[in-house]
Amino acid sequence: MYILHYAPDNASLIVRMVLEEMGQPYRTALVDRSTQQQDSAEYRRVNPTGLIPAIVTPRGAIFETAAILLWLSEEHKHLAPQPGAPDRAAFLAWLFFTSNTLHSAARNLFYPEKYAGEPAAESVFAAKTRERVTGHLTLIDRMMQSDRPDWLRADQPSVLSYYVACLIRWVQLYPQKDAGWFDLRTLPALHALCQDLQSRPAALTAANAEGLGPTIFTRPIYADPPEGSAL
Amino acid sequence: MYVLQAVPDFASFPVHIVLEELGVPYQLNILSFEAGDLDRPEHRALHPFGKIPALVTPDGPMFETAAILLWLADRHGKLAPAPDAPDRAAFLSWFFFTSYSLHTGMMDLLHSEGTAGEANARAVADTARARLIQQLTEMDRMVSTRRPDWLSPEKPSILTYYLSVLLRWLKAFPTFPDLAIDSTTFPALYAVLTAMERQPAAIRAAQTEGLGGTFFTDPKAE
Repeated sequence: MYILHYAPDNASLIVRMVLEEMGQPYRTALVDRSTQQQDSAEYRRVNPTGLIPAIVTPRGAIFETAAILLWLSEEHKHLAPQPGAPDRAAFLAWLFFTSNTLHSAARNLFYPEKYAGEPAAESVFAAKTRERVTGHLTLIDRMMQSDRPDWLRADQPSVLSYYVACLIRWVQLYPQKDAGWFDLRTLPALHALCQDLQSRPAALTAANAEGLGPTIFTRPIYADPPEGSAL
Repeated sequence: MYVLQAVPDFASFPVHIVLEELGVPYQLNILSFEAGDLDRPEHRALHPFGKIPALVTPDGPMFETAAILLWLADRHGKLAPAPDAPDRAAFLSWFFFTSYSLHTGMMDLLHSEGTAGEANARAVADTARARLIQQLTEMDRMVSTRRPDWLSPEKPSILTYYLSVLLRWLKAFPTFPDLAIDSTTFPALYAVLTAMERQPAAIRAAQTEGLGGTFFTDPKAE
């Protein structure tokens, strides 16, 4: 049985949806961000980087969202092209792109105070970051339209589709003081993917557990979780 | 036969070393950044946004440094724990950490003007450096306590080479020279660098790219 260390509406949500989609048994362990539990010695023993999520498996703890997603897909041979498959190369390229380029830009967007260096730099930093996020999502949308990959399309979930859809959710919500600039309808392939995914039982179950409300990807509202804190 | 789209000392360098280490046939296609080769249609056909590296494989062209490294390791069954190995879990965690945190932090330290504009470049670089030092300290502690097989001076892996190249750049190329990160501060990682720059595969790739001597441990002195 997996143990998912999570905070509501944090990157752990992606892993929860994937575990639901795979039908794998797991239990959750709340990392309470309202008391900075992610910095506690106890959590650092599970994940030395202090980021959420981490998952405890029979093979030890794993951290880094994309590492967990890839490992689960290999372990259960589900929701991603497997090693040796002809579309593994393209899948890995876009998985890493989503992690180190899109996800890291989204993180810059959510926490400008951590990356801009000083308060005076934050507004320029935020504007440039919004441009980057839009650019990265546009590349993904165009690739979906031109290549029509099996591992990123509406009607067939993958670890990557949940990853991208959750990032799209958060780009629409955070940071709260600057929300509302992003219009998903300008990216038709991703819009269709989000629409399809948010009605899947796995997504609905996860959304319900974390108090996310309806239309979690296309028209998200802020979480009202039964336990813990999103920020 | 693989074709590697490369610019000397760009992110194609770790891929170049790994191709040498694997001993598989490949062709090195050296491009010039200054001459605008990255924007030419021939390169754009292989990389959707005209960056380096791209690797042409029998399964089509692929991009993203870490994705290429992992794909090569899996394809040839070498230089990383295999998908069903018990230490795949820990390996993937630190491999993605290197790509997501260290590689992107390196970009902020070396190209900080792109992140927040010229006026804020110093502030962004300062905060990136502080973060990188904290992250490298965690990694160093992990290597010295757990002694993992996949990040060890005893044995090259895709991660030993990836990390060695990143530490080379963190020491040699920050926009603000006083923000250079000295790899000797991280003794367990430094031991990996010292061993990796003695590997014949790394030396061959370095020489082809015009780098010599202490290209990982003391790039300024090479």
